[in-house]
Amino acid sequence: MHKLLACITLALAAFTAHANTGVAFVHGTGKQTNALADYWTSENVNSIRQGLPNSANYTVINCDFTKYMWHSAAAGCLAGQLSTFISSKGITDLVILTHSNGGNVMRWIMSNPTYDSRYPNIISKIRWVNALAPSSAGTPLADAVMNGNVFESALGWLMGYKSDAVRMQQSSWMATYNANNLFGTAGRPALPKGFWSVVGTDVDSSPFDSDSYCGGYPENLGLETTQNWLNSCSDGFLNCTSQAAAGKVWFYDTSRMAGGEPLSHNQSRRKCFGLDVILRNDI
Amino acid sequence: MKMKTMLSIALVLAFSGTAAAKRFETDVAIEHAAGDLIPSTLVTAKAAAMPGMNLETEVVRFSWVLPLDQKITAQQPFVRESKEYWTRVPAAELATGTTLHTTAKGALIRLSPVSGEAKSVQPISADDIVIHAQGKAIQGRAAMANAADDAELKMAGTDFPDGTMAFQLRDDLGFGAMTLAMPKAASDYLVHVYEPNSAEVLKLTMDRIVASHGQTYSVFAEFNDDQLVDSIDGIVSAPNGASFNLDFKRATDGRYVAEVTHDALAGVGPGLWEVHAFAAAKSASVQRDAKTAFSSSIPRAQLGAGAKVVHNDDGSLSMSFKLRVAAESRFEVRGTLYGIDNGKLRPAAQASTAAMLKPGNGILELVFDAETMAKAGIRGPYQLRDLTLVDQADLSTVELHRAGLRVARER
Repeated sequence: MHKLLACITLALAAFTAHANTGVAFVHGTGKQTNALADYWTSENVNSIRQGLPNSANYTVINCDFTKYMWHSAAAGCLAGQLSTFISSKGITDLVILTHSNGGNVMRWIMSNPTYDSRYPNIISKIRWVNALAPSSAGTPLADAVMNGNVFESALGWLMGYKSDAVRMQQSSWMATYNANNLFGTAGRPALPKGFWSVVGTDVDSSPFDSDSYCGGYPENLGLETTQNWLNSCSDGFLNCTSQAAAGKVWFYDTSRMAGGEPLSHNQSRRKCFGLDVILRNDI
Repeated sequence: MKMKTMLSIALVLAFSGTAAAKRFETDVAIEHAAGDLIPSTLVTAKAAAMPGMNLETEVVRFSWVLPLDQKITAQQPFVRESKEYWTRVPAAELATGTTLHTTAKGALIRLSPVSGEAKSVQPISADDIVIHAQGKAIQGRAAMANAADDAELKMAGTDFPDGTMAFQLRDDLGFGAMTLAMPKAASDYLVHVYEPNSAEVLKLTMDRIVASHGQTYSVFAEFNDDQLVDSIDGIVSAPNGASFNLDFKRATDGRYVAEVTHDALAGVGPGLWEVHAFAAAKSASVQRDAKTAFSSSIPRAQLGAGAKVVHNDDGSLSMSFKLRVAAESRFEVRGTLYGIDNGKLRPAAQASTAAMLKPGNGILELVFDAETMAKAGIRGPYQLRDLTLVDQADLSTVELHRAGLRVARER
């Protein structure tokens, strides 16, 4: 309901100002060079961008989100690509779609507008951020990965390099960043623009259920196992509480997906159960 | 509160750095409150450049309106509640069987080959595992409620070391001491035991979120609501890899407390510092490791005693803060503006200003611009709370004043 009111207000403002609307797809942890094909899939992006008045007004971000969120290869790269998109297309009304850790990098920019002189212009163009399964409070899985690593490091062992993004998404780290460096979580100032999360609540990996195959069956199979580290409400990678920790919850998956299906962490970045249509209609 | 108030006149405009005409100007003292972060020493050495950090050189200001339902509360340190532990098991011991202590049904067990040897270690499967429990040897999936091998874990997006295997024990195996064996083990393995259903909990927390260089912080460990442990050790680890031992002592309230004087200069690097605790209890039948994180601050500047607050003709509100700068860096001042709405004080706007400042006296001017003030929906008297000084070179919070400033109503 809140989002509906915000939508009406912003739509009226956009109509009045003859807004030039664009959409940006911001990936999660990882170093992407072709996120269109490798992360989001073309069928998903092409479906969502049909909601634009000019369907060419979209960009798929490719940055190195193995780094800390503030890193020049992460937020710096994101700011550069968004700035180029805004200026080259004359975007005045920007909807941003993030997935997973992409929400943290976007939240870094919106929480620290004076860190980089490009940030204020980007923020001023944003209508809102739709954060798909954002890792706003981290994940116990990052703790499980890093705890072993740090424990071993402390004892002089080495278990191989783990990315700074994984390190950053440990629960205690995100709690510290949320309390100190980021806005939008409980008791902290709100972000300058809306941050609306879509929360995945479960993983369906039965081989006899065709829904398990959307987004890739093997991926969902692994998420069913990693869910053991998490609460009963999780998308296999993130607890629901983490996904709902920043901004406002737009909706929980089962309330809006076709057939009341849950969205696993993998499915929330794919064309599954009508999510693409909901996102398309929100632009 | 010491406050000097004066009306401004048009003549002041000639000397003003802001575009808008000043309408009313006051000097306001910064208030102090419990929970404030105030540096006790200033470091004159410039911050080392962090990897991937390109410091902005322009002065940047930004303000925005907060929603009507905005609630601001003091942030609390993270509390880790651990139901898990790690142990390194030599290859020979794992091949014949190592004893694992569990305290509840359904323990989740992960095996990761020790790095260095990981590349040469063949992936393992459920069939390679034998669990001895309740007098029986149970092989492979018969002992497991579910399992995921290295490929499946990676497909799920986790970043466990190569060759990792994870599984959950079946409930009918019960709990207590059991033996984990992997006859084909050819290297040492790290074994992680996580017990989601256990009531045996080690809590770990601190007395602050930010530790300022030279100040003393406390670490608190608590086992099952202040029960005794057999042993507890710990370390503090810094981003640069340095680590320092913790000396826990049992306090009168039953918690284990370690106090540390923070040497922030000894651990400089990107990322946070961590506190680790390793405990054994109930005749070693309970093993728990816990970890939490904190932010380290190296103060290179300090706010002065007050600010000059200016109400401008265009409706904007600016606050100039004098700083004593010990080392060049990019400093940011930020704060939350409260004002009166329907007779009640509420947080209504947020502002931030950052600039490069050289050693000596510097000024940062926090501006709530005219549009923000017009949309904020509040009137004076105003308060600026959670006044914060940040060093953007290392992202540390240098200074925090929760009560901040009280701004007199215009005359």
